[in-house]
Amino acid sequence: MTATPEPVGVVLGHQAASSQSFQVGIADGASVQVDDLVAVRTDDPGGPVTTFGIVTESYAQIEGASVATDTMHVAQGNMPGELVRTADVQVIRVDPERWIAPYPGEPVRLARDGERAKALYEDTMSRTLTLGLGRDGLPIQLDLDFLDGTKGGHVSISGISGVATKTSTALALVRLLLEHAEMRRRVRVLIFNVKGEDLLHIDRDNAGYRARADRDQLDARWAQLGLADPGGFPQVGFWAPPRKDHHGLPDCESRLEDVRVFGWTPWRFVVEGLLRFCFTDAADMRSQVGFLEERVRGEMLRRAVPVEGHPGAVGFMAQGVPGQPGTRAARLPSELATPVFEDLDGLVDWLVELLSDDELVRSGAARAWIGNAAAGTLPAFTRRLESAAARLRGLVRADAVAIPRGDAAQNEPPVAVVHLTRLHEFAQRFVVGTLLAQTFAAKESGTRDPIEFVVLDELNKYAPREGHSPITETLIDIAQRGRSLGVILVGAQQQASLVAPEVTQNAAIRISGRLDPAEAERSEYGWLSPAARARARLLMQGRVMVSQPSVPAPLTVEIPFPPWATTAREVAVDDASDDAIFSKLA
Amino acid sequence: MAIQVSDPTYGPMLDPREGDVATVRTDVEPVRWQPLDPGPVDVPELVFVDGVQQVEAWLNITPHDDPAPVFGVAFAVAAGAVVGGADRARVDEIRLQRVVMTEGGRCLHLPPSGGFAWDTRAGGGIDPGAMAGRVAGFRRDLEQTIAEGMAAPDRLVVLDGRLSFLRETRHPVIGAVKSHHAMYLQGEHAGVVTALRAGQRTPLFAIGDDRFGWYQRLPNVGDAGWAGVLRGEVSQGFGLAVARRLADVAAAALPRYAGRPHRDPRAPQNMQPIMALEQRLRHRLGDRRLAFRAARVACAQATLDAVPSARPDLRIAAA
Repeated sequence: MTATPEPVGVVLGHQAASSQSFQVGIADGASVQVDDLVAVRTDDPGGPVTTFGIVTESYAQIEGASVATDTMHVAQGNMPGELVRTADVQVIRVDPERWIAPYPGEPVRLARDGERAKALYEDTMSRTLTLGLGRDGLPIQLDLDFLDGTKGGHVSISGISGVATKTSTALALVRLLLEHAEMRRRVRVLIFNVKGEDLLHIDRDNAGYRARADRDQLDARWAQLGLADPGGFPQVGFWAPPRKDHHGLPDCESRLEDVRVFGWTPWRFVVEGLLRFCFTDAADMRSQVGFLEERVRGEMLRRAVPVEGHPGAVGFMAQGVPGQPGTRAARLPSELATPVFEDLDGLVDWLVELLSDDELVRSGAARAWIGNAAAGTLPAFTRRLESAAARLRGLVRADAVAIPRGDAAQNEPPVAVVHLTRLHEFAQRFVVGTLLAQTFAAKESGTRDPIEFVVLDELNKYAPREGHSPITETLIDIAQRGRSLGVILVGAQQQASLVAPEVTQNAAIRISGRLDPAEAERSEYGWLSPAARARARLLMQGRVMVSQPSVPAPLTVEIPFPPWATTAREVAVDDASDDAIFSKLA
Repeated sequence: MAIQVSDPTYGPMLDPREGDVATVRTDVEPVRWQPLDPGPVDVPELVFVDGVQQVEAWLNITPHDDPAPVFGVAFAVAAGAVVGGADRARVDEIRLQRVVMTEGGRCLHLPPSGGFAWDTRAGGGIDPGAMAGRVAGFRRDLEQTIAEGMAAPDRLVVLDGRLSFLRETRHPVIGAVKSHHAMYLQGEHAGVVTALRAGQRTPLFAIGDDRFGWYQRLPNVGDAGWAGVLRGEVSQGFGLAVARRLADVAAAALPRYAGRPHRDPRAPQNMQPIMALEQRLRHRLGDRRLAFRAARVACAQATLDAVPSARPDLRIAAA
């Protein structure tokens, strides 16, 4: 270890120092800022103790000034007064663990090198991931055991939009994971793009980054974080929904090449019971419609068979078919009790006709499908079903390619970006719900590795605090059991107070960017100290506060300017495909 | 030996007034007796010097070899200086002294206790008033030491209180007296004082054969009667010309530092640097209750000289 650094001040004693917090009087010529890590040695009769702390607030005061005008007179030189600078320190560690207050008068020094590592509990972490840089410009480590599910998992990111918090932090986390010596081969990432087409370009270099005057410094900072060659993400699969007018083309504007069109076949729609994700409105869950949906879903599953010569399509038999749906043999169209359904529209039309047939309903012939549903429930159900078909148009069709999940994704790039922006909110919920359920189901029946990271913004939309829906349930399931199965949720939201508490509370790693002042006062941010909450209103671009179980205080972390393109405009122009894109946009 | 230690809060009065019986002559300055405007003057660097005193315990000592009690006092004095620059006033020097003093010739020695330590002095009379006078004397000695240390040709040292105890100095020192227990002027001359406006002074008058004095008015409390009137003193040793110049400088420069009435009951004559300095000095003397407790503890292990001794030299703590 290096020599003990010069003291920056002394522990103050005009108010009692405690084992939790103390004040520092800053020495002339020394500078101490918020977020600095400090250390104090106290020669307690029970043995020497080193107290490590983090500076949470800084003060400057004229000693001797007791009314406001005193200071003005001091400034004019009519009255003597002394500038006194002090700082609040929150204790984060004592070593050895004897919880005594540091003694007033003891010199306080900045924690450097070995002391810094100790203050940040790095010696207790067996595996680490560097997430960003502290205010001292040095790397801040995350305890990987609390990220990848070994001891804990899930990340919750909160912050207002537009100050490069949520998406940037999530992307940096993913990028650094993919560069991590141990984790790079164990990670798969599913990212939902919910804002513009920003994430459709992350595989390209950022022109703004390249043009930065401090490019060399930025490179060096990324290198400190473990990214030796800053640039676009190396391997990404892009997925977009089909265009309304042409199901073979992706529904996006700023990029067409290398974007695959996703969807689900009617067969998978029935077999996986995706109908439930068509009824995700909170109102549906409270009414009889929910029960009816369950009944119809079950009945379809009971009778469904694949159709000979119509890959992907589904048909129903007059009676239930024995055996697991996946093992059922394909039937000829002539054997079916129904038409061959090549897309959702046909299936829904048929269902609506069946359930609207008063005679069938009255005679009890449709009993198997509707159970004892009240008369008013049927039209409510069919109305929803029809609107669902209209909004999901193109997503469920016989020639659709599903985004591979589980073992099927083995040969896929490690990162999949799913473009949702242009879908109706209803369809967005359907896609997210379906993919989450598929990811989780694949893990339930598969192995823990590779670990699936799911990056989902606007969590409040998918797992709202009020009401229940199949998606909320899936997300809560992931939050509660996902870490042991190998599904890690990286959730983001503007307001954690609007998200189901089971989801946010299970996150081991909590990150906050700039917060709305009213939001910052809510109990969801109890992990931020009062000083940190006040601070959260002032966080600059690219700065976040990170809390992890291994370190008992939130740390301010800076994530350097991203080297990958975060909008179409940032795509570096010498990428071969660019000219084509921009001529299309023009 | 037995020592009874009493809380000074209930002790005798500590701030005896001193009468001034010197004769006053008003025919010193060759001008008409009326308020004078100082006119344009070069204001040198001003240095304000003041001190405070604090009696911390009265002691009643019964020696083991003599049933007659010996009276004593434990006290502390402090003095300091504020240098008033063009744009910044700063506390330049602070000195503290903590003493245990006994009447007669036998010194009482107190061991250090609770962070407090006492120098030892003996001598003087037996009544508490004289004892209090000696405490004030210690304070004035300390003030004088600092004033002499701070004085320089291009400075004007303003000492809080009367000059009467100050030895001759080569460099400019004036006294600034707040209270007017003694009336130096009568009749029409006193009328000139009440006619002063802020920033004006009276002509000089001689006090005895060692000092010149003048009155001047400070701002912030109006121009009526004796409100805001300060009495200045300067040694006659400087000669009339220098004395006149220093009085002009004081009349011109001191209003800037006048105290503010909402801040200080002794404003404006208790000038802002003096007020802030006194606050600081009192603070630096330490907590009176803690000092009392420390004195009690120390007295339990005190030793009294068997025979009268020569006064030991005082140690003055520089801050």
